Amino acid sequence: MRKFIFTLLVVTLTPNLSYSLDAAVKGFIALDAFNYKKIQRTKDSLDVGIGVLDLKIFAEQDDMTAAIKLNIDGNLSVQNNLFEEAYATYRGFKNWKITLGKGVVKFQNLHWGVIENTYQDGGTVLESENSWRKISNKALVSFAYGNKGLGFTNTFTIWGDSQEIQFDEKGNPKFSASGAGTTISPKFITAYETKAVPAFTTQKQLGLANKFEFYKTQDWTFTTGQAYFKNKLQDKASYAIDFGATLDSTVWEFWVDAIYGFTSKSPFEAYTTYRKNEYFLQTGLQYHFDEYWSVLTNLEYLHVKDQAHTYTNFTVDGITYAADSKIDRAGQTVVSSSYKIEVGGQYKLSKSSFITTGVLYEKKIAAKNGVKDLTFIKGVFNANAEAFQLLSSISFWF
Amino acid sequence: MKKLIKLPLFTLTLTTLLVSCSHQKPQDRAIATQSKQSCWDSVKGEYQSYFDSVEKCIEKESDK
Repeated sequence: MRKFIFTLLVVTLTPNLSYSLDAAVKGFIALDAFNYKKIQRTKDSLDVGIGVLDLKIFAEQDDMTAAIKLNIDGNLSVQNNLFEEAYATYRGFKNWKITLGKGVVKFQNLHWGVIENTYQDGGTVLESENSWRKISNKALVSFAYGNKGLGFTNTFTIWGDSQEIQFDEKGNPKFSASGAGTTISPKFITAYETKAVPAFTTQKQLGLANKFEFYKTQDWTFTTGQAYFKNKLQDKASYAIDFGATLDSTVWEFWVDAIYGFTSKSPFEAYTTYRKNEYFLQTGLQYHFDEYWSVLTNLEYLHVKDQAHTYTNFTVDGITYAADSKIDRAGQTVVSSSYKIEVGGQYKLSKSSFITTGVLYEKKIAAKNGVKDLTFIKGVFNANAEAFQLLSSISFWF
Repeated sequence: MKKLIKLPLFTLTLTTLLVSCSHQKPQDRAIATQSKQSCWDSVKGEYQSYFDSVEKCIEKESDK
């Protein structure tokens, strides 16, 4: 009888559990069937292979949602790098969403171009000089209020970098350096020592961000966002402000995004700068002729004024350090303008796949300390160069 | 004594079974499927917004 009751309980309760807990694996894949690139002063190249590959696992039960996005194409030897997002969201309070974990900090109105990603997410042939990009791989807690029904959503996020600089017992930063460490032959610093951390401490760093989305006007979404970040070693805080809009109707799609950002980093951080001001503008549109065919265009402009740190040798605990030779030590100021134009067509193969073919032209104009037309500037890729790209890709999502 | 335990356990199990079966009406299921379809239809293959759109649809399904 006991067995019977146990079996009956298992049989009756199992459907309840499987009904309330649901999980789904979703993915986005773009395969480059033909990717031709030509950068001025370098040899042209033809690539075939995977352009984008993302997998995200969702699990939801009642008011809780959990998600893990796998970092399949990332460097998996770094601790916690297997997933670029891993968070849980609680929706138990009416119109509120509280999210805790690791993921993307929202403040921009990000949009893919035609054949390349936006400058804000590494979409460039020539490499771009902007510091304010998609803020991903961050430890965060966010509070979102609103939804489409209310006509707006406001998301406030407290965040920190998932890589923290390491300090010794005296409070000095640890360096990755090589060399003898004497006055004549100093140790050359390439970077600070960092460690992957699952959670950040506000004593060492603090990031804040806010994104407001407004949906009241039919088919339009207007956004504005702000972001702030400062860590213990940085003299000045970094901040950015963003304005965006998206039109999403059955015939037309239109997107625009504008950013002003200021960045200041400590001398040996990755992509360091003493003072950087940047302006970014993206605008694009897609016109659908019918259910299958559409044409697209995307324009992006980026203006950056970047003043580098000035470096001198220094001694700590009897060891003399100097900046690595790859770093400009004289505090150069580089003013650069980059722009790219994309045009293409898209054919819908099925409900969840399309083929895109398009061309891209990109140009970067840069001057160092007021000197123009230099073909080499330390720390600047492809200074005063132009590039062409022709790409045909198949995108598939599920 | 054994009978006294068995009977409530049996009643409890049967009640759970009946409540579980009557929890969802067929018409509710139809409405849920319909709204689920319309949400998933609005998901576009735009790389930057794809997973956000998917998450919204999953939340809507959960709220049903």
